[in-house]
Amino acid sequence: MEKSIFRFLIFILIIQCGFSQDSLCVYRFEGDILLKSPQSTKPISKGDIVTKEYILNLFPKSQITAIDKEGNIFKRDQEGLCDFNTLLLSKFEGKTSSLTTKYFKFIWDELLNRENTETKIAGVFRGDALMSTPEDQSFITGKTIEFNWKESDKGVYYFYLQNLKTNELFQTETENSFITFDTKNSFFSNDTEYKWTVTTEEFPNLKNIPYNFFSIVDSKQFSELKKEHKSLIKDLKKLGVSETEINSVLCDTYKLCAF
Amino acid sequence: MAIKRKWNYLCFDALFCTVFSFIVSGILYLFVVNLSILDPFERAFTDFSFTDIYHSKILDKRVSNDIIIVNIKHEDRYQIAKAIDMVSSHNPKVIGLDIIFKDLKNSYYDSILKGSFSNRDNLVFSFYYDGDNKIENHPYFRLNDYNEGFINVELENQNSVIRDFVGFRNDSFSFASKIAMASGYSGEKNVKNILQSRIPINYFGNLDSFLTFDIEEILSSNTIPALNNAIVLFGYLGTPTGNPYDIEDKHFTPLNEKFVGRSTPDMHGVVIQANIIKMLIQENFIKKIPNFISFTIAFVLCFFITLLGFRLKKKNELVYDLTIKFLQLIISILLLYAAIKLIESNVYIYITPILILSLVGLGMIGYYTHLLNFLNKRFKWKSQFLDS
Repeated sequence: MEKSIFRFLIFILIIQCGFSQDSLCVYRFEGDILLKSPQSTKPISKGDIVTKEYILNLFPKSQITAIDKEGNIFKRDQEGLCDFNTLLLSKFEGKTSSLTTKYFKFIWDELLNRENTETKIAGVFRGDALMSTPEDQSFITGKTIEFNWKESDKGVYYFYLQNLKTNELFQTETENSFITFDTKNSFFSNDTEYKWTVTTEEFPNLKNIPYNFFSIVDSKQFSELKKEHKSLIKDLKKLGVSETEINSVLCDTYKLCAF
Repeated sequence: MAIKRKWNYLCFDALFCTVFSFIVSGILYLFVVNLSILDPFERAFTDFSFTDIYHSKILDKRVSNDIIIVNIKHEDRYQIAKAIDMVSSHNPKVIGLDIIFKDLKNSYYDSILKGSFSNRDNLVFSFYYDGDNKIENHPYFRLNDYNEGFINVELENQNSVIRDFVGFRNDSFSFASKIAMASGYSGEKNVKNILQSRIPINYFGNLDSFLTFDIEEILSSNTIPALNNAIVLFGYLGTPTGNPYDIEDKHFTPLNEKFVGRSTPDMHGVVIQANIIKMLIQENFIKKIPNFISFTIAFVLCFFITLLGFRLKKKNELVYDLTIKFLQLIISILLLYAAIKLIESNVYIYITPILILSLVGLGMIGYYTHLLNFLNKRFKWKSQFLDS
């Protein structure tokens, strides 16, 4: 009887310790997450403080990393609603190896000479890249996305596209010098960075070829980015330049592309 | 009785061999490492520490939100002023500016910046000593109750790797000390007492261990609750933040992924300051064991290891010859493990002499034997080791 009471008290103490946290700070997040309180609902941002009165709404492919005052990390990536206590249960333990294990593993790797054999080249990539659009460091919005590249004598192209958030890689072979995708495809999502390349080699070293990076943004974010060039847009309109041509200028010069 | 006498002689041999090892090591260090012609050896060893393995390969990643770093990138003074205003509106404990506004640039932007500094008693500015000169903000920005600290990290015998720091020198406090005091974590007396002498920095982590914001994020946000009651540092974190190829204001620290050999600097200056501040506010200091204790331990350990070597060699010379290298490897692995275990408990011991002298002691047994033979022939020197 006493043992049961004792165990029950220990259990309560542990629960209390776990739930004695009164707030968590948002350290990092990916995707779309809403922070709901009785008074308001707003998108989450870095530095927000989450307390018991808040509920998080994680949309698909989103993740939140929060920290408490002691530096403990809490990670959650399950879609759906999540209250403060549920978030507390998502404590990230990280690598649980002790110092002894890590140290002797390190010594073992050193003895077996298991170093990182990273490819090193004494040069940079210039030219030879077939990619045209989207250009490097572009921002894209729209229902479709079209990839264009220069034609080559070889006539067969190998296209690679990688989602940098999920590391999913799409590859295909084509004889065309372009390829188009519907952005509703689950491979694509807003606020995500991608890289793409095209080569005439059937089995290229993917770590040793140039890529163009781009981000897909929603229309709201795109409008925000366009605002930085509002004076240019205004001037072009005054000159009688059409909306389509203005979009073309923004895409070619400032890499803001709407399809 | 005979066994006891034999044992005593063996201990004497081990003791003399230990002394012999120390003398030889000292001569080698004097001539090989210190001669200017062989200076690269000294330079290479000055930047190296065995215990860097702990910070580089073993230290767990930790995160903190009590110190927040704002990356100013290459924004102009107007943007910096607006960011300071925005951060100040959240009532942080302290705002530290790891930036020096040495000259006046644009009268409009400068006056706005000055306005951001005024009526704020929780600002800590920075300056540095360049020899005898003090490089600091232009007098235009130096308002009443001006609080500043030096950001020098160079110390004597500290070449490239920033391991130690001094919190108080030349009647001035360091930037990190000032921030710790201004945020109420440390008292002036405490800082002077502890930080006048050089102490090792107990590194917390690199960029990923602190909450960081780009200046654009600060300027575009309405509210950032984490800023409330935090220590906020303004400094440079690369463009974009965390760019590994941007080495402006980047330094080598024990956390470098490559703890030996050539590499790129791994930590921005403002992050080093954040680490020092973290150590001060948590009073999480590393206790450094004096070097004379390290050398004493080295002597004692060398003695016992040499004694073990003598016993092995006396019993079976073949086994000794076959196993000596293996023994040296095991001893070095275990000694380094002990040093790293101590670092985990915030105790730093200078392991290099212990490691090297223990290995040299074992290696010197062969040469000592030759010396004994010579002494025996010339002076009839008695040795348990030579007597069969």
